[in-house]
Amino acid sequence: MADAALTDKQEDRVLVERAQEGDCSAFDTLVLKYSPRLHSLIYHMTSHREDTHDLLQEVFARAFRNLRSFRGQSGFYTWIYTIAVNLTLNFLKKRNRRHSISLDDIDSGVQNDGEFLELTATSDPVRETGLRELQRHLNEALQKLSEDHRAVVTMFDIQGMPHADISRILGVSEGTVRSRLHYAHKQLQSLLSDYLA
Amino acid sequence: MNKDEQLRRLLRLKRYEKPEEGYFEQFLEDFHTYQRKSLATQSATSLWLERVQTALSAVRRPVVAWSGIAAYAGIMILVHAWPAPDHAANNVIINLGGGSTASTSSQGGMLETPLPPSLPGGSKGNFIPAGNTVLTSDKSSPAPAEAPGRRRTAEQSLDTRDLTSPLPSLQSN
Repeated sequence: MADAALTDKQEDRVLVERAQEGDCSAFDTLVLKYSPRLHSLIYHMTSHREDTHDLLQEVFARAFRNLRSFRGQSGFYTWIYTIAVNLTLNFLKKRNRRHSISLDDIDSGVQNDGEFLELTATSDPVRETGLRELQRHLNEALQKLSEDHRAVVTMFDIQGMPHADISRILGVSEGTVRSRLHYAHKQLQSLLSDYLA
Repeated sequence: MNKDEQLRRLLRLKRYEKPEEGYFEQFLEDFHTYQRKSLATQSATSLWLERVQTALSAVRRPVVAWSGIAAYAGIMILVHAWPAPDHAANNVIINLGGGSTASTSSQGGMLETPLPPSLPGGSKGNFIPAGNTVLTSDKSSPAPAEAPGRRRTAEQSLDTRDLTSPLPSLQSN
């Protein structure tokens, strides 16, 4: 596992070096590799498909323009992820966006997910409202959190990122990350009380 | 299972929200178009600001970094926008007779020293404007005194030198 991660980083380094020397196809490889993860981050923070598309383009464009300043002290993924988080937070702070939920985006794989099956089997409200309704409620609840709280919930609960990585990306202490998670969970528990036994 | 664990499992369901098939291949094409467009329209200033922002985003404490930059900018503004160090430094007092009462005070750009009575308008209340050259032959006046606590520049020292043997053209007056 650690070896795989190391290889991944080495692979990124080679691609970045090639891109820094002017090989645009190397940067395209990085775009294809990281756009799904960055799309997920931005989408869960904005809950808006068009905004996600625009922001994702800006993230990669900014990374490309600043590629020469990338020294490789951190991994390329950490670097571009930090750009994405900062850009999205700035965007959210500037505008209070309307809630536009992309319900047609739900992967059909969720129907076979063990957690989903268990939830629908044990929880009446979930069974009654169905998947799309559940997604809508989840997104609405997330949009009620502050931007900073939503960012940590997205990174920790949805993307499964460790506290230390979140702390490094947001530039706050691990204690702050835990504290934000604690308060965000409390708020979400109250907003989604119908789904929690 | 407690509520917190239930909530986490609920949130994990959001991982299944994904864009439609083929979105990322199309995204690459859209990105190329966007890149060309933004390179053509972005100004040099916004590019420079963006580089600063991106560099700072890599700093662990961005707030500290921004504060440092603000403090540096403040100091630079103070250094450059502060009034000229001493207007009186431009005053040239040429003592033809042996001394003058020169003060290097520069408040309001005027030398706060009354003109010697030997000069026209040298009565009480007349001051030497900054940047002027004043010729004096008042022998009773003491030698130019240096204001306490004020460092003299080499230029000042030359300007207030005692010219007991002044220029011939001046002597003829």
